[in-house]
Amino acid sequence: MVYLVLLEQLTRRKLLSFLICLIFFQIIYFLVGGLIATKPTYATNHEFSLCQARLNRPWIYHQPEGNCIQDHLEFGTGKSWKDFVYVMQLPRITRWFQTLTSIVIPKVDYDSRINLSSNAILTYHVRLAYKTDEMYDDPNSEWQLLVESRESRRIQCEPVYYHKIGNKNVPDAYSCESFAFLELSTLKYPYYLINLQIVDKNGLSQNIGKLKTFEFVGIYQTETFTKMWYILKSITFPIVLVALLWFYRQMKRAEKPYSNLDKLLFLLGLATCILNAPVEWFTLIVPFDGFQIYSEIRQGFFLTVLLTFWLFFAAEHVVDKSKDGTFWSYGKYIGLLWFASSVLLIFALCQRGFQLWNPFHSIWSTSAGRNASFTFLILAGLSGFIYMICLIVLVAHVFWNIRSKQGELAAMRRIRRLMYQGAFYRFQFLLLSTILCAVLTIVWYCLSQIYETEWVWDADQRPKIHYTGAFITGIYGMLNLYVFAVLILFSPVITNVDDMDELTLTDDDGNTIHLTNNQTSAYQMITKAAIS
Amino acid sequence: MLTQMLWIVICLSSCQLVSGVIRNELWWNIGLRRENESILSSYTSINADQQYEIDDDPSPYCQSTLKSLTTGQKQICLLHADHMPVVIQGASKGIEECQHQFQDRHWNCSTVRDGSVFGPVLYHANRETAFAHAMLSAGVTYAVSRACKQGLLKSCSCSRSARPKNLPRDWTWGGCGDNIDYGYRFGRDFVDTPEKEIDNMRILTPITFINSNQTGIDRKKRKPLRRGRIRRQMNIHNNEVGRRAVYRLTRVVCKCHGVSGSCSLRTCYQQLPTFREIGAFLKEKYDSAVEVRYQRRLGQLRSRDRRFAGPTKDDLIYFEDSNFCEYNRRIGSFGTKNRKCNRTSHGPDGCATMCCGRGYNTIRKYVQEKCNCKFIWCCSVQCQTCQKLVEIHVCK
Repeated sequence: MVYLVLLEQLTRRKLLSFLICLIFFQIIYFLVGGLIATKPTYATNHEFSLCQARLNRPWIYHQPEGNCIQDHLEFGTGKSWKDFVYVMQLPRITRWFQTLTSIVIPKVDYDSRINLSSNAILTYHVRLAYKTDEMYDDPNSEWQLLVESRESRRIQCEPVYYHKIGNKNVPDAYSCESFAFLELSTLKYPYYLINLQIVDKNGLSQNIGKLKTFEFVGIYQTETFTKMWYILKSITFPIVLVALLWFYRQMKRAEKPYSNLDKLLFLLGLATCILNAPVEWFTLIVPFDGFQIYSEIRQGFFLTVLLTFWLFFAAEHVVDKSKDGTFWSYGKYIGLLWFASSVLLIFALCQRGFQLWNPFHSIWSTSAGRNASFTFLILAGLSGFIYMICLIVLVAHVFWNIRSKQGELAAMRRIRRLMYQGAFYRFQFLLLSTILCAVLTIVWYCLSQIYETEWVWDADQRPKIHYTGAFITGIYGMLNLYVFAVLILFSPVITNVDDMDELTLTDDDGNTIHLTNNQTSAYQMITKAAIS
Repeated sequence: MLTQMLWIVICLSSCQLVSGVIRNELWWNIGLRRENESILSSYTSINADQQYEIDDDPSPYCQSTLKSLTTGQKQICLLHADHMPVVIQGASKGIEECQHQFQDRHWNCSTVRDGSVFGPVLYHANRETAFAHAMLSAGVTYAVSRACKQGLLKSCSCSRSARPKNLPRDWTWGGCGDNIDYGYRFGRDFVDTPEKEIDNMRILTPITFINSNQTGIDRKKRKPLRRGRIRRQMNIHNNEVGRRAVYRLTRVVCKCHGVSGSCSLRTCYQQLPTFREIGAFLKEKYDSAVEVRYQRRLGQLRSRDRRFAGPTKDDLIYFEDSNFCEYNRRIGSFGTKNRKCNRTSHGPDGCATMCCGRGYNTIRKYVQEKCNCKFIWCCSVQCQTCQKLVEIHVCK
């Protein structure tokens, strides 16, 4: 028996209609993100109010019926940092918002009497409290402490001059860089309150300038986008699952032993299904703290499997391998790839893992953490770079082979020619579609980056298509369709019995070899044939 | 007839000025009360009980405490009583910033205590009026936007009610609207209302009688009306310039927050400028303000200099030139007599410019001053007192 993949069996017309179908779906994915959904994320900015600290009140808040007495930082009032609380209350949050990422921008005024050192360290004590809807309506309920922490952050500011008068060397204000503040991976409660106090004991928080207030920028996922995303996933999941099952059934029907590539193909389908599985719905009912970690892991897993698949596919199609060791010649690159992803995994685990216990923690805030994460990212980036070079070299190698073999094709026997042509065809098909996907990704990415930066004030001038949303759904749809197409087109089919005779490979010595040799796959046979 | 009219003119203008009482106080006055009354502090710094009182029945608060508001503004006040302390803060910030920006100019944005805020200068359609309008309008927009950000206002920040149908798709509901957009819209409603009320003639009356040479009754009647309309058009334009300044200086900052901080996900947000920046921007607009005239054919205000195309939405516009060198009560000029000047400076605060060529007196005196201060932030300060000889230059 000989195994061919469906791709080779399809007539040109069928293949074309299949591809047109895919493109059609791709456009739908794109439009869903661009037209129905909104921007995927949304930033609200708030400002901390400076309130007086009160001994008998554990929490200072604005709503409902706030108890904040606003104050100003002035010299000569005899107060110290202990008498002030910076208060910020988040607007009502629903679970649809998924996560909250936030940064804080210090607002520093110029005052000739107050030093602002270029690498001042601000130390603050911050507490996060929550209220549920019932508690919010009940005037007697008190805010409940969720987490408290003491953090240190570097304050980096640049002086700003509004008018350029020659002899005036006095800056009008400072513009400061933002720092990571709070990351909530689940939004369990609708109301959150933050009370922040600056710690100046033991010479902490020195030379921080006239720090008036902080601006808080909270980034959520938009509600509309989350809903659309969940529905999209729920629809996509069964489709890819069906493709995976079909692939499995075809394998079974053809009674074909799994080659490495088949295994990897199956794994790719599985990873996609894990990625698609709409478990997000559960987070609406039971918020689960580690969900963001899970979500990052499955994304990383999918990408790693996809990259491995490409490398493997290219390597399998290097037709004239001199060595017989099919796997280990490029296995080290795959090892590198998995090493890079495990490094990223460790990084994500460190970052998110700490935040499970302390959402105010940021791996970037300490120098050791920053160095470690830089090391992680550089290692991962380096491995990614080596991977890319390796992949390009392999692909070039395959192309070179194909070109050199093209000339010999005419002189070959029919069967062997068919084999070669089949391999070339498969390879070129996948390569073309992969390149197409890569180009689309880059184009969309650029579009979304460009259009996001432009700020449109007037309501009637708002863009009709949201490129960022379209980018995310478009990429998501593209990867899914890619996997779907690969699973369908590269599933084995049994050829007709009539063809079987023709496809029996005849050795140069005249011996016939059936391709159902226990251990070798069709590709390996091609390799052998090519060598001989 | 003519003499009769002239008599009326004299009476109207002088009666008002002598008595110092103007029929309608300017709403800007609310920004001035900071020192004598404590409305502002009662809202922003005293606890929630008082704030709640306003919410219960805002009418005494709007009608009597804020009596300088116009009818339309009082209605807005009744609807949004919690916005008023913020508006007051904005107005006073606008006045404060005006004084900061103009501290070394002939007109230094000084206020008077008779309810007209800047005095008779506002009867004239000059650059200074244009700037004051823009500044106050910017102040209100800025303060409301900022209060929105702090979560102090009920209607702008996040609501639990159902999502309105006409809300743009980007607006997260249950989250908040766009703070600056809200500030802009509220500012427009509140600040432009007086200009749109028909019975509001307080600023127009003197300007017409003083500046137009009346020859016939018909023209007399029509002209003030038309001039009033044009003047209102100018005010509305300049108010808009102020609000747009807040918009224009708002920066968009983007932040990458994809997987491992990559830029696969990026979100942008608005960052409000500092109010000082808005003041500096409007000061530049003041220096490049466009003199306009009314084009009856188009019904528009066009640039008087035909070489330039009409004023854009970001240009301050004015009709009359102004001079604030000499004391002139009629045009609201206090003159620069007794103003301090800087002997060595060549800028507008230099004695040559400031004193309009009249020369200056130099006063030497000993003053008690705090010195050798030790500042510990926050917020203690220890100083010694020392005596110091200072030299002050004052315009003749």
